[in-house]
Order: sequence, then C-alpha cells, then structure tokens
Amino acid sequence: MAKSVEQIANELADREAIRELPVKYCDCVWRNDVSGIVDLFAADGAFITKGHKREHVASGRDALLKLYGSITAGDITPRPYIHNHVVELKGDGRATGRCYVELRNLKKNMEWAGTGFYDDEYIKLGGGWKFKSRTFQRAA
Amino acid sequence: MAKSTEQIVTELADREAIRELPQRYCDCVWRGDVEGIVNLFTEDGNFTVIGPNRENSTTGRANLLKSYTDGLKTLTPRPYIHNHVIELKGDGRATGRCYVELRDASNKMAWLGTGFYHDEYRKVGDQWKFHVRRFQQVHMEPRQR
Repeated sequence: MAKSVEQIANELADREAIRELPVKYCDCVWRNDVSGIVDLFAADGAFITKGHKREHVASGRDALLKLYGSITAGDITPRPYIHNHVVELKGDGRATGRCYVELRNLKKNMEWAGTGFYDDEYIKLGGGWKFKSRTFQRAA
Repeated sequence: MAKSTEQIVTELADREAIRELPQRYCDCVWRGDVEGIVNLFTEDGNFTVIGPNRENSTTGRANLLKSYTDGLKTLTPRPYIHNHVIELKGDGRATGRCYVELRDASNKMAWLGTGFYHDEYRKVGDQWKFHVRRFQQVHMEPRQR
C-alpha cells in the first residue's frame, strides 16, 4: 500500500533528525562539549570501542561523561569528519545506521590520525532521536 | 504555479532516496558487499571509469557483478563521499554529481586518490537506482604494495 503524505513526511523528519546525530556528535567533539555529546545518547546509552585486541564499553550517563571527559587527555585530541551515513528506519521509534569517520589530531598539527566506522542504534524518545548505542570499529 | 504539499513532500522523499544511493554505495564498498553494490543499479545499469589514458565501461547487472568482484579482489578502496548535488528531471529521472576521496585498506589506509561521479538516476517502482555512474579520476597515487 502506498504511503500517505503524512507518513512520508514523518519518515523524512525522522531521517533528518537521525542524520543530524553523528553530525552534532562531531561538532561537539570539535568543541570539547562533553555534556553536549552525552546529551545525544539515551540515558542508558552505550559507547563501545572495538580495537584490534580489545573492546571497551561505557554505558549510562555517568560512564559516558567520564569517558568523554578524558577525550583530550591522551596523545590524540581528535577532530572528526563524518561520511557515508546510511540509515535504516525499523519502525516503532527504532533505527540503525552506519557512518564512517576520518580523524585528525589537533595535538599534532592536524595530522591524519586514522579512520573507522560507527555501527549505531537510534531510539526515539520524548525529546527526539538519540543514540541507543554507538560501536566504533577502528579500521586504521 | 506553487507546488502542492504533496508535490513538495514527494520531491523531498525523492531527494532523500537519491542522496542515500552514493552513501550506500560507499558503505557496500567498505564492507566488500558486491551484491549490495550491484543492487543499487538498474538491471541495465552502467558503470564507467574514466582515467587519464583509458575508459572502461560495464553494463548490466551480471557484468557489473563480475567487474566489481574482480575489481575489489585487486583493489581495496575505502571511499568517503562529498558534495552531492542532485537535479530532479521529472518522470522518474534525475542526475547528480558527487566527489570522492579514496584510501587504501591494503596500504595502511594511505590516501589513494580522488575524483567525482557523474550519475544518472532512475526510479524503478518505488526505488531510486543508479542508471549510469561515470567515475572521472582526478588524481590517483601510484599503487604501493
């Protein structure tokens, strides 16, 4: 059955809001806006980092604040650029997506610091769409 | 004459679906999903690579499947898409252009090159597809293995 104009408009609005999440995420990382990053997640949202040898999970607002609060503490102060965002609406306020990132390092004259992708789960809450989980898979 | 709300919403939905095509294409290339790439084309879809000295053209899903399978065995490009402009032509047709940067997964993700795609899109049923993709190489680094 063909979708109504209202259904199409709602899906477009959902897609637009979801598309904005990784963009706002990068914007917050650039500006070191830690609470801004964490506000993009659901209260029980999780950020998972997958490296070649280990996996790290930060789940819930406190853990995310701690994780992102230390984002500039190491050798890299990341400056991300997001690409290739694909979104799949699952219905019932849920969606998934994947997007690719290139990272440059502010601490080293913005030299290229690596790349990878995020496997995302999104959830629609009262205040709009949020990250339910972000799983970052490093590629290099 | 001003467009109706229905026309505006339909055009926005068309643009959104078309915008997603090159992004899905890149996503499939990253994941080595050759069938996924080919399914983004119409049955008679065409992909053409235009290099400095030669042009290589492939038409039809069976040929595309072979071409992408062979191509991704020898090259491991990791594309990032940019600057996608779209022009709706009406009657289920559209054109677009988008720019790509490529990195090489077989060479520590070194920068491989850049170029742009001239695309023609067709609406088949309720889905937009690539009818023609013409990749114009602008700069490719010498391959290092």
